[in-house]
Amino acid sequence: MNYKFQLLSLLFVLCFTSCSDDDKDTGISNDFVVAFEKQSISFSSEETSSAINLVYSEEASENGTISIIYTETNVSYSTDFTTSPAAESGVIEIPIEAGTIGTSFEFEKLTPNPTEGEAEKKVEFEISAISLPNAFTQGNTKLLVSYNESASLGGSFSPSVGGPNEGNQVYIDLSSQTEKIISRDKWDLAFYSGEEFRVKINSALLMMAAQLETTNIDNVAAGQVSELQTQMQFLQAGSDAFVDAPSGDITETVINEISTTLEENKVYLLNMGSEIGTTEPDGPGSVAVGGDERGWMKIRILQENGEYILQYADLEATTHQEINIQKTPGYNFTFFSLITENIVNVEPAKEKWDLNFTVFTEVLDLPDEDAMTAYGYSDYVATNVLAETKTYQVNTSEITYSDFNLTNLDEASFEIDQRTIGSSWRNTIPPNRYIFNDIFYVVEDPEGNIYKLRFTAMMNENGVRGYPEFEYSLLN
Amino acid sequence: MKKLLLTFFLFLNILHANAQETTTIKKDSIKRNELEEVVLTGQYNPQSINKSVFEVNVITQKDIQLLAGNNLADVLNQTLNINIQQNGEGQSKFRQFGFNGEYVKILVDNVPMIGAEGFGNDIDAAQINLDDIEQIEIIEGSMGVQYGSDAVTGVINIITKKSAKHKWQITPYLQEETIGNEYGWFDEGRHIQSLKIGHNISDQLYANILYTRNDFKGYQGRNKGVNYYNKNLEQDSLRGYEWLPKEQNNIKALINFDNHKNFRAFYKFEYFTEETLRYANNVLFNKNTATQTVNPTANDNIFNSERFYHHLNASGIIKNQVNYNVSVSYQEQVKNYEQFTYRLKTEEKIPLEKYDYNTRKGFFSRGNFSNFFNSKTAKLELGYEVNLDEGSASGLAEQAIEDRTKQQQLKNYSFFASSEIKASDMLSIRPGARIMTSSLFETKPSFSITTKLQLPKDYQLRVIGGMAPKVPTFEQLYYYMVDSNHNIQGNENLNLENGKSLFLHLKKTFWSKNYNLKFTPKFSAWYLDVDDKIALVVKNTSPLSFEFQNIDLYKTWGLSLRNNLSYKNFSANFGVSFSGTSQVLDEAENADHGYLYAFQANANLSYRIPKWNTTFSTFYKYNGPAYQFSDGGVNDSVEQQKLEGYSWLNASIQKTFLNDFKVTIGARNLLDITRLNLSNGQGGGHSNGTANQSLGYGRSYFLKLLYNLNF
Repeated sequence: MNYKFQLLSLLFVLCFTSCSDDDKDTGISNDFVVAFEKQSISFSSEETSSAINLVYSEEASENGTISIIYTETNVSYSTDFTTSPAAESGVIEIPIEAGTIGTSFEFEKLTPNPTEGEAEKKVEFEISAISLPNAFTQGNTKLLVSYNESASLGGSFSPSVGGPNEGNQVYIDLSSQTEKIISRDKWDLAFYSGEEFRVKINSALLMMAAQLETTNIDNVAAGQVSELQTQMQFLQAGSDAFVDAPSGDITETVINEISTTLEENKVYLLNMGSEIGTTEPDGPGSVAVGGDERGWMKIRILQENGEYILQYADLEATTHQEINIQKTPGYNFTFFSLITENIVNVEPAKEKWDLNFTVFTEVLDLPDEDAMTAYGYSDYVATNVLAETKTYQVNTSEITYSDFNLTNLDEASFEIDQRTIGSSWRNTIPPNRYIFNDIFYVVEDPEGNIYKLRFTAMMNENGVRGYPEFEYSLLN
Repeated sequence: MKKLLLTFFLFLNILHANAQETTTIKKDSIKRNELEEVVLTGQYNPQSINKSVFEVNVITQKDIQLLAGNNLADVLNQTLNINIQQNGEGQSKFRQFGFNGEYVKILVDNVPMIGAEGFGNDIDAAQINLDDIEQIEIIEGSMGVQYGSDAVTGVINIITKKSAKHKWQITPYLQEETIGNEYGWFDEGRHIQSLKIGHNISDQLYANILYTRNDFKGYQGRNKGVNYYNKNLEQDSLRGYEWLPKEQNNIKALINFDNHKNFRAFYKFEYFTEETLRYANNVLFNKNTATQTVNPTANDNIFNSERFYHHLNASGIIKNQVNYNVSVSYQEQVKNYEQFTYRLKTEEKIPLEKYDYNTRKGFFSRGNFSNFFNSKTAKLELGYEVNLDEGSASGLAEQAIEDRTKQQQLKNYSFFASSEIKASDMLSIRPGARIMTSSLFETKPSFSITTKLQLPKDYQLRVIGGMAPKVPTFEQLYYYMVDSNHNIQGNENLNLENGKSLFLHLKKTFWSKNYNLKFTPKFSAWYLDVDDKIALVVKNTSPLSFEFQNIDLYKTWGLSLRNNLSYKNFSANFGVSFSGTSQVLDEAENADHGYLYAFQANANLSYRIPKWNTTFSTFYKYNGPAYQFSDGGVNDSVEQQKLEGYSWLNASIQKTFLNDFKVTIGARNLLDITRLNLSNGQGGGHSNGTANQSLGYGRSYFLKLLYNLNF
């Protein structure tokens, strides 16, 4: 019997030793990288100071210092500019605090921008040393400060689209490194400020419009349009006919050109689309852009004395409101909200934006049917075609992003179509949602600056959609 | 000690005799026990397999040991007409006759196990531990009269051990396995530890307790582990594992009382936990443009399952006449889903969301009453069954947590009756019927008729017709996802699906003159269909919306020949099965795909060398090229896919040292099956690429050390 217990205890020992977990390989040493947040800063004549931000690749593990040197062009320290902390013998020492992920120093401009004909004035800062172990600089190792309004050399953007509900439209101006964020339900109709009298509907709310036979807005009631209403739906064969051309061509809006002949301006039935979604998305990495339906309205638009006249009413109403809407010079459109019944400020000035991050109405082939349909896209990037922003796509099998420079530019490839970037930068078919690593874009903005641009994220680190990021770099 | 052993040995035999037929003489019983298997599934009383009116396939404890089977998934892949496949959450799901696990009913001691879709339904085979079992009984065909809803393609009944010979039995075992070619003492491979203690407290009272830990460290395969990311920032989906790591802990306890006359009762308890780590294959790089560095993260999940099982059973004889057998069971299952962000560089875990889903808890009771009168020609059995269960719809893909975790209820009450009529010495007929009333569905009857014909020259013919309804899942009833681009809705007006089957079995046992050789071939033919099968169909093309409807018809028929051979120390099971499956989809404009045929064959051989106390065994199963229909879950369209043919081959050697110390070494999946191509057949949807399906993790080796301390 004895040997049995011995065997038994041996088995127990084996059991319990194999239950314990192994020792973890600890002490992963990461490199610590410091860089300027931006590649360039330019001062308008009014501005006199700016913070210059430095970012770390990760939390600083201990205290230390960053040494920054500078190269002056037609400026000198103390006379034309100072910094805080101040430079000593040509070196600015910036402290690194343990636990932080970045720091900054102040740049103060002491003399005005050069006037036309004067030599350009600029300072180039460069990180020369970092006192921490395993630390070095990489990426934006230099920062150029210009005493004029020159185009940004590049950088990155994280447009605040608003997470998985994507509630915002974000207008990006690459050259001035500025963005303008508006809620995408701020407006419903956009009245073209160019030569033609054209009106577009808000594709970011998934709106639709259909021309009716009548010119009498007060005579239209739900009963007469119920058949039409069933067709004005997403994923409905033929519903592509009820949306503006996704190319952005202003002559192909769903609402016909507003005629000077009264009788030619018919009443339009409006599907007001969907509210901004408020729910959690259907699983991580997904979106929930569409909320409750916004119902139906009817409008009729006329022109008179170079102004638009908008008549609008709820579908069931037997009376209507009327408002005169003027074109806004210097801007693509005058925007109007049928909800607040106000003219609203939406887009930046015509030439002051290049890209618009938005929910977008596209048209596509219906699977298994010989028909097209309207369909909503999230994280869409539309280009400012009315200001002639040009874009084209490059595949990294031809040339890599980092190798691409002005000599590789192919002017003939440029397109003026707001879909060129569109949704082509990412794959959203679950479970493999990711950005395509093998494509980048070339963008020429309305001011003639040519940038290369590539996307670096569409989700945040937790895998939540609606957090796009891109980087770009000036070519000319 | 010897005396004591002898006493217990005798006691056990009496017990067996008692359980089978009170009138049988001891000696006969022993003899029969050696020669024939006793089955419980679908029987009025435990029956020898020959007397059973149903045709029962048995996987014995010996087979399970030779396969080193720790759970049901380790064992069932060797069975004809059954396949076990891994899904995305790391679960092992059944397929029988091409139907998924919602159509197979899994029972433990005749009581359905709680699963994701209610009692006995949609069970994860890897969650059924086999360390305390006597045998597995498999019946093919619709068994709705006997086992109620969802017993459509068949029933798998796991019979646990409830007695032992010795006063004390202490059985620890240790099992070490490679996962494919991956093995490490701690962080790779599969490690199982188990301890079972059984005790005969008195000659009427037996108790045992069992603890098993099964630590499956996952299979990396072509993937590259948890901290991998592509340095060129390409999305290669190679992070993590091909087979997800999981750890299971199982505690079981049993108390069995038997007065050896007219009353027997047992209470069985089980507590089970499982943790599955789902490491995302994709990485988010989180590039910092300024520093041109990345801080890669991944969205990982942990699935924590927990299951409680209580089963109280009483059986006996009232007034020396009426046999009764009543089971009462309460079971609970909770799955917890935890979502977190994992930072690859710092190995940090940042919790995001955590909630219970796929919860199911329920009360079950069944009572069988028989032998109301003394008649040699007719027997009557009456019974009832109560299922009260509550839970949430299983899918994770819901917009709001309130929807995902919303509790729904299903209450079923059934009454059933059957009668066994011995029309002659040759012919016995057993008609049966069940009425099921339900809180959600129309009352529906099921019928069955079983005929056993004892033909001349010992040929036995069984013809078994049966029906079984299939209850719609909560997902099919209550799913809701509507937004601007989607419209998919559950349908609360769904009806039960109807399963019907007809099986024919012809078998005979041949003996050699000296009874050294026993050969039992069995020929079977069957037809099974399910109409009103639920599918997600296009409710409205414009605007596009989907709804679950009772719309499809699935049919399958087949032929099989299974043989059982034993000669001296050699025993073998081998068989072939040929089946055709047809699906008539109303959804795809009445597309009738015709029959798609599949072939399976298996052979299990074992040879024992008594002098060495050693058994050699091999288990082989061939799965021919097979068409399968993708299940058409909420996000898929139903597609027909072709899976290439493949084979499973296992082999083992078991040697017993010093009577008590059992060592088993062996190999699973000797043919090194990992992934197979899955190609779209004709009639599929718009996508035409080839995908592949992960079936196994390659050739693996195991060593099992088991010690029986009996005194």
